[in-house]
Amino acid sequence: MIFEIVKKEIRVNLTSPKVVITYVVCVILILAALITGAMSYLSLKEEAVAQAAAEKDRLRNVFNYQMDFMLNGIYLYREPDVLSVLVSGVEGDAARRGRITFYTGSNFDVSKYNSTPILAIFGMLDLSFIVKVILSLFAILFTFDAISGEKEQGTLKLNFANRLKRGSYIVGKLIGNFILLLIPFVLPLILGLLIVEFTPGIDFSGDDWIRILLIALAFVLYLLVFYSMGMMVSALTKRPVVSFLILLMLWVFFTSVVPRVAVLTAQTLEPVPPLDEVRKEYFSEFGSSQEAFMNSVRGKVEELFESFRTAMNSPDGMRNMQQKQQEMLQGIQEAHDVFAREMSERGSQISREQEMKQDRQNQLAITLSRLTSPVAALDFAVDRLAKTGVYSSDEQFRDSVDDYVKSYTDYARDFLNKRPDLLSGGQGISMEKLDLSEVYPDRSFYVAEPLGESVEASIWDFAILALTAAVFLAVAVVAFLRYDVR
Amino acid sequence: MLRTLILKEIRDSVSTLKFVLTFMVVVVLVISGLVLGSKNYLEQRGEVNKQRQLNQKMLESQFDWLNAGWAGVIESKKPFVLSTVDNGIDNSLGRLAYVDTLNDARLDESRNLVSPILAVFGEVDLTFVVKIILSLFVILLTYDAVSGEKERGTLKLALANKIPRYQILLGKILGGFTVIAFSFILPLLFGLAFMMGFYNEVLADFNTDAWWRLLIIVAAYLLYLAVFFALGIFVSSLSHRSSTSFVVLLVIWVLFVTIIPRISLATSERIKPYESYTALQTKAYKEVSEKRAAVMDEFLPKFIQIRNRSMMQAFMGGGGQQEPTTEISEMMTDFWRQLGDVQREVMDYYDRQYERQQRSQIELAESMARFLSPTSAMSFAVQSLAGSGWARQREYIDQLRKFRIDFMNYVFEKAEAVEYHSMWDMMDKQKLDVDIGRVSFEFREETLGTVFSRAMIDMAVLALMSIVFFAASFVAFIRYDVR
Repeated sequence: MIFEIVKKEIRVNLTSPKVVITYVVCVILILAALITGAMSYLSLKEEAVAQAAAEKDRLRNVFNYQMDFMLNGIYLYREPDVLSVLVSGVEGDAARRGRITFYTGSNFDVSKYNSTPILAIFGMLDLSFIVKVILSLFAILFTFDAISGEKEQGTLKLNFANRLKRGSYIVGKLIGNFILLLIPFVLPLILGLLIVEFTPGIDFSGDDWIRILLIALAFVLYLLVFYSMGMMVSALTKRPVVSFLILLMLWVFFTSVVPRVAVLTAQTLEPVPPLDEVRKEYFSEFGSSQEAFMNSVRGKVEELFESFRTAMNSPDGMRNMQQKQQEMLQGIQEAHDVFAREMSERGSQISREQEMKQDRQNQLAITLSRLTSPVAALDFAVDRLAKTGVYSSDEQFRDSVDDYVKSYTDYARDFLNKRPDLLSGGQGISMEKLDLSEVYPDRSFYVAEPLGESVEASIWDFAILALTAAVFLAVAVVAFLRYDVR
Repeated sequence: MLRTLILKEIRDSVSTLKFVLTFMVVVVLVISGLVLGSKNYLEQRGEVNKQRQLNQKMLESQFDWLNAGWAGVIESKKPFVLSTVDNGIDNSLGRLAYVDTLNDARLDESRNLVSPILAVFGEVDLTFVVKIILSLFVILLTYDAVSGEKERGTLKLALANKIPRYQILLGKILGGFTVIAFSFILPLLFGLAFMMGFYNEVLADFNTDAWWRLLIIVAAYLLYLAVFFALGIFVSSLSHRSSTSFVVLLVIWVLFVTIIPRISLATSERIKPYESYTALQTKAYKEVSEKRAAVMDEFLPKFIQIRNRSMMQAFMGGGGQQEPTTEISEMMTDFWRQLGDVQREVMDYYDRQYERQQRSQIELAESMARFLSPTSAMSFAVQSLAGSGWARQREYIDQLRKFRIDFMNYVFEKAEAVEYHSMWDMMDKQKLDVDIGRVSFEFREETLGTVFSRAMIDMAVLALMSIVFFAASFVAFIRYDVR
């Protein structure tokens, strides 16, 4: 019996103009999203590879050691993740370049939006956006009159004139319409993924396919939430107009109001001090450390002059002087070493503290918004799985760059130890080449989060989505069983 | 007669639950949007001064003036007071300005880069309320204006009287739009009153220019709502069932608000692709290094000569009895000045090239979007007026570049004037005497005329769209089958 009803629901609705229009729109948008996603991924990747190559080239030809290598530092580039084809997440605002300098440690500057603001002006069209905004709206369009509409048309009464159980009727209706909603999502998605898979330059690994499957599952659960919400509201109201208004209100709240408010609340409850204050703290210490460094340098120079003067009067003065000069340079180098190490350690410590505060704020924002809005739950789940979210390959990249600071400074220090004159009178000019294999990390220096961890982190979102959908479905069934069909 | 119709229309809409609910939501969102905007504004404004004090301290503690030039200053981008109303894309744009003698002036570290959680959902500002919430509300108010009255049979009754059809529609339009304008302007006034009570500091920063801009922004909002209003009436008088007109309107809304802007971007990216910023930067850097090497080659022999001489002087101690001169300073400064010039020339060239390409792509995407979607036209107009878009950032960078030249001149002037006896004197560090006025960047806002002329085309498009839809709805209504 249920099967009959499922078939009837699909047959009746499949030819309605509403369904046809939404199908066409879905196919076009999903294909367009995947193809543009693939193209922008390819161009970003190409760029990152080219940049890294150019940076290596620059380092190979470093001329002024102090300026080009220590002050200017080195630039590390992040390649985009292949799953950004489906879910762009916060990719547009994420750091694409990390910079390590000898004195300040690491910082991250270029984001896609800042260098290409056009993307920020319009926003990116990706699969996740289509599901989040468009398909959820379609889920509402498919369901708002499912029950109240049939009542208005009088067909609901007719149905129960036969010997039809309410329970099987509502279950059949739920299944049939949901299949109808999934078709325009699943079919173009498969087609689009096939196109993307056969695009040269894009390789999904086995892990990636599991991630894609999970992402698709999250999308389906999300649609189920809106679908069952629509059914529930439709079964609770008598007129389709009313159910539509309520659903639209809920949709606006879930998609655009609630998540924003949650983030704002988190910002108020767990404030993070602005960057300039952090900098202030850093530089106030920088000043005193620098002064200490300069004092010791001055002391060494005085010493040297003093010994010069005595050397002038002794027979082997010249030889002594050369030795003294060597000693002085060594001394300055050591003092500089202490100074730079202190500063870079303090810098990293300050940024670690800042990150921890930011982290607490993020966690609160995530908890608040995922609990209050299915959109947020979906966002966090798919961003995490696609490695394009707040905790993502960007984060991994930042961590890896931070870790790399040590090997960079060690190398720079060793280099200086060999050539102490680079710091003082020599104005940092070096004819000695840098050893690239030690200075510049290879492409695999940062690895994305392993699958297990992503799943573990997003499991809450799946649970929240599933639970919400289950509650809505249960209420919908109960409400229908008690529905006044007259 | 028209007055009665208008009053009836207003009474009818205001007394619905739909209106009361939406009105309350709008009041809450507008006030919270303004409060958040004010808080952000004050925070950013405070950062400007804090950053300056920090700069002074930083520069003073530098080893010498050349080092001070390398270290440079970091300016916090001065917010425009209308950021309280519209955030635009500002959170994605750099907000710390780095100025030094080594690198090109640049704006980096957007708010979203620093805390990406902000980027996940976007911000609540006045524009968001108008763009999403009020436009939907307008659709809710208009979708059954004609088709709904037909369904209920009241339209037939109304026309049984001796009233011309156009008057009925005119009454509907004037009455309905009054309600909409009222449900935006009243919450806005509440919000401003709230600001007067709690954030008077912000309002104090509004000069006449800013008030005018705000006025024009409100006009843009109203024009935007007028487009949706006219569209709603038009679709409603084309269809015979209110549920059909609703679905049609909703699809159009989704297209206007979310799809068309994104699609026009994707299209213009394909039509006018351009090289990425980092790629150009790398190219420029390479060119700079080559030219720099030439400068170095010239400088080195001179430098070594002077170094050897000053070494000798140092060995002799006070024996030389020479007067301190600025010779060393001048030589060093000249060298760094040359390096700076080389770097500026190259960077300027690449930057102009990048900007040209980028501008032509942005212009293409913008003109496509503004003609196809009122939402885009409204956003562009408001971003121009509120200074929250790309244009102010561009202007900011331009002025910042000019400031960098001043900064370099100041630093080099100071560096040149330092008198050394020998090169070893350079080790003798004294606190630098920094004139904070000369190392602080003051951004001059663009004039009202400039921003207005930029926003004019968008305003014109909005006006045109609403006129077309209004005209179309008159035609449709006159031919409407009321039975």
